[in-house]
Amino acid sequence: MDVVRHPYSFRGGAPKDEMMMTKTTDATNDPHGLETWTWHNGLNTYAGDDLEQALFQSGLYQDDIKDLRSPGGLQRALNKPNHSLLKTLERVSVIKGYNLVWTPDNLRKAIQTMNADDLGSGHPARGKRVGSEVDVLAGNEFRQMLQDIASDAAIQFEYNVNFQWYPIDSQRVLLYARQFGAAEAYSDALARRHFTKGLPSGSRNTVLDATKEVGLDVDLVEEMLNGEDFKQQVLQSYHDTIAKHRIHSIPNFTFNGPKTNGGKFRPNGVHSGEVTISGSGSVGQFLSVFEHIRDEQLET
Amino acid sequence: MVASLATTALKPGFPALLKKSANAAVIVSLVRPTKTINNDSEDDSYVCRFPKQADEKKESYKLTTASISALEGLKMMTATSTDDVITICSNVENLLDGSLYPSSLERPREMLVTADFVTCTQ
Repeated sequence: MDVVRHPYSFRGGAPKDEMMMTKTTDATNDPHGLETWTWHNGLNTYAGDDLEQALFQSGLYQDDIKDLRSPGGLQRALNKPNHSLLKTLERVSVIKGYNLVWTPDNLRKAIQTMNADDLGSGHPARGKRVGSEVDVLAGNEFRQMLQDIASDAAIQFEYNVNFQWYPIDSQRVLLYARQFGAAEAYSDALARRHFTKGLPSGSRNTVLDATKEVGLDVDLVEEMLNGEDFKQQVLQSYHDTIAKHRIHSIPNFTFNGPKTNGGKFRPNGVHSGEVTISGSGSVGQFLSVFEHIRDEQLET
Repeated sequence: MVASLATTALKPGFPALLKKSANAAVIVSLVRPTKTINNDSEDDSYVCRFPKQADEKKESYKLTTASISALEGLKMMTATSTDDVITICSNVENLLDGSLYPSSLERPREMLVTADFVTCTQ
């Protein structure tokens, strides 16, 4: 199996022309590029955005949604009470498969047990200051879903770890490590440090520690990071994955067997029998991909 | 079979794992010492370890890629308590075409799968 990793940032990246003009880590030309926040707070915002989209598609007015996502918004809806909004929340919670069905009673109880530190406007994440009850509740659901998946692999996530839009150095090393067949091992080593030990993956120390674990020459890696190698490739990938390939969520996998060479990343972006999975998937789902390729493409 | 390792210097990132072809978690390790354990000078010899039950259950294995550290390789080769079957192969091509699989097994068929994987590191 040959895995080619394509670096991704949810914020995308600058067009190639702009990158070529600046040639620095700030080549993203993004004034928010160096902002950091905890994964915990980022998931609150991410899940709140996801919920907002679902509520809008369910027919709620933008003004109601905006008020709901402001501090105290859910409490106000419960006090009023805004029946149509509350019914929509309950229906959407079921559609999304949340562990908690968002009935008014359940929501009142959940608000009482919320960590006050999560609320208010003191925690900007992903470029927003939200801190509403629904963001916290949706964030709880996302964290629980992620942990349920991780628990199958005996992984315990640490959510209070710094996150940033552009962990460029860590992804430069990812491309560097591929030259030595060590990209997957490095990625595992880095992910363990970041997701289970709370070490920021954008940190030079974390990156070098992970390279050491997989047997790469740490001095050479540091020398590479002090230069410009792979920087443009990473930034170009940030840009292309979203602006060119329209990939708005990760992970995203495209599999090809011995007889196909398709997908967005193959020459001219052809489609010829590749199999794409968007999202983490399950063991069974990935196994079925390999069995499909075997059945369709392996000579008998 | 238990062998001693002349040197622990391994080529970084060398393909080093064999996985059972069925949907199971048993992993077989492969390491590459810079010198063989047969007192030959440097060549491309490899040491491979199969779980003992692989022979008993007639399980088959197929090659995948990953790396293994020198320390892990050393532990593997010097382990005295393992029940695993340790085998030496002098040519990596024999691994790639499946000839190092337990002798009593039907050779599995190999196929190369490529994956474009869009991902972040956090």
